[in-house]
Amino acid sequence: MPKAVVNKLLGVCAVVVGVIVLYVTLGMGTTATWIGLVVCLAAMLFLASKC
Amino acid sequence: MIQMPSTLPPMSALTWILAMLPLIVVLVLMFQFKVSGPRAGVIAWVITLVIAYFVFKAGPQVLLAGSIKGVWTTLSVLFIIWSSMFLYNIVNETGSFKVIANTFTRLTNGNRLLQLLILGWAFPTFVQGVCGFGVPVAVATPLLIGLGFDPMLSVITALMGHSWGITFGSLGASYEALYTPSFGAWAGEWAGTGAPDAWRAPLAMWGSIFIAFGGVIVGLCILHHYRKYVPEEEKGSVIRKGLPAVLFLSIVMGLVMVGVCTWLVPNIGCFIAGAAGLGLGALVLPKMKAYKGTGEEFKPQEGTPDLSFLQAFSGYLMLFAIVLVCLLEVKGVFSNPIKQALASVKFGYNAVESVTGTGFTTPASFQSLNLTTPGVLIVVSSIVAICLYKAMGALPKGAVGRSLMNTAKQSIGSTTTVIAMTMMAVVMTESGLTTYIAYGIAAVAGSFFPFLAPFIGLLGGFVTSSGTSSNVLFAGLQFEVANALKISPFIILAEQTTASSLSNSFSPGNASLGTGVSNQSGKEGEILKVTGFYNMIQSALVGLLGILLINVLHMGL
Amino acid sequence: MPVAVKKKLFAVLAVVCAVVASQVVFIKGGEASSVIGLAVCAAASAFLFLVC
Repeated sequence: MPKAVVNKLLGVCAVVVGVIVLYVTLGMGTTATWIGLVVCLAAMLFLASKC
Repeated sequence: MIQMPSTLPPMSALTWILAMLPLIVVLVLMFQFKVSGPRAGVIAWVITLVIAYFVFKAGPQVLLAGSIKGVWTTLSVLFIIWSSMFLYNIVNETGSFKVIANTFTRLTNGNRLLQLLILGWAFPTFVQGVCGFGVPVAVATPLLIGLGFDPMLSVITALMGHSWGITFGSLGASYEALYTPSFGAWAGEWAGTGAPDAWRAPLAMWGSIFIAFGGVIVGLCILHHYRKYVPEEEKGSVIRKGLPAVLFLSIVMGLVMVGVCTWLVPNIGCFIAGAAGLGLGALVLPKMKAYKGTGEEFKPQEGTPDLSFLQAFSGYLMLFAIVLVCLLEVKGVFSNPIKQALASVKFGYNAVESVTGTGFTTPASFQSLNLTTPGVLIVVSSIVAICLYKAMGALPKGAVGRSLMNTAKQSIGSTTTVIAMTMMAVVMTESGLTTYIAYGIAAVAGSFFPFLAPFIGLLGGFVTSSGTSSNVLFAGLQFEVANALKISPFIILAEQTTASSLSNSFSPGNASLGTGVSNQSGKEGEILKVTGFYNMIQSALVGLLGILLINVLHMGL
Repeated sequence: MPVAVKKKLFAVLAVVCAVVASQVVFIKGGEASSVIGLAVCAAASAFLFLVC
């Protein structure tokens, strides 16, 4: 598989994981939700860097 | 718990997937199989008829009524596409784009990135403030191509660059469409005054904050996308070099947008923000150390006619002037007698009430076009432009005939795509498929809804190619869900309108307009692939802001 | 005007005529007549499909 495609897939997986983490932390209090938000944002930046 | 309306089939995953199927088919056909827009649209229309008939119990009368309404809805859009292409061809015949391109090259010290940001982002924002329906894309794309930018880059930049301000653009049409009677009544109670317009100020404030946020993201997306078009050795430094300009324009346009919407009149927020971005961007950015020129003497393009910038741009200046004179009106502040006179000249047809087997009803209505439709104003501007350019001696012999011929060649691709797609979209809406999809998202979301709300706005914008129509479609649903979850409807509606604005870059209708003005008919799929990727990120970031404000900071109520 | 552009213009015209006929004639006749209207629109759309 070409490297570019692998990079994009990694980026998409990271975002999916980030969104799941955010969803899970939503019910765990304010601090946990902050962490979830930061993880999700980081995943999106990772996707942007891979594309 | 979100209450599913009894007029739609009971919620199930399979039915939800079937409701999504026409959209999935369109995307797969265009992205994966490179099928042309009209063919993908016709196939999706047939699939919509089948699903609507068998699953959503929409009878032949509903399906036919939706198809008729779809073609009718297309007419005003096509009028804009053809008339804006004609105006573009007239201006092109005079060689004016070369003058405009030279002026911006000189103003920006030849800095390509500044030209892209100012002409592809600030300028379309300014035009969007006055005249929507894809006119900013039709105007900005040829300017960028005239400056030597790749046609694909030009279309995608103009699509993204114009999208963020749509809510408070076109003199506030999308913002007004967020109002529903139940939201108005709730806002009156929340304010404690019972005033019928209690919804306006807080929604304008939150809306403009989210829109300004959307603007920052759009600027970064444009910069990110531009990276693909620079030589390999410059790729690493493009983001670093471009960031100051993007941040400067974001802050200027964003602050002006929030300020005007919150403290002045929201309906002219986009216009003033765009003007600020255009003016300050062109005057201040080239003076920054990072963007100073190399000191090389500026050489105008070959064949540039002897016209000043104002003379060259007069065709479009006429358009802005005519639109402002004919359409500028702010509810509760001042009314425009010219607009009212033009709006009174209507023609149309009586659309029958359509009711599906489950009771999903679209009421009967008089579907009309009147003389305030943008296409009329653009045609009038074109005629005035022809007279102006002839008086200047700038219009060559046979220019009008050639412009008409070129307009037909360039617009036919967009025309066939828009007709097919809109037939599908309206049948989907009238049969209840679109509402069903949105309810499905709301039903499973729970406290995650602030993250998913923008994707409903995006769905509406993709399906209808219009921020206003997306708001008309889903403002009611978004308010109901927010109210049921006891979270801020202001913030949820702000997310809805931001996403529906941004989704204009990811709509087949606007992509077709872009390919039409850039001679790239058939490449809609490639454009949508790029803008779709950025749109997903934009909507997700808007959703994150919503989660932050609602779930973490408990704001908005 | 190139032949391809002429064909597409005809196809667009066909769809518009089909829709006008549907509004004026077929939809007012109830369900059965609407089926004919849908068939006419489908035929025009098929022509659009073929020329694009």
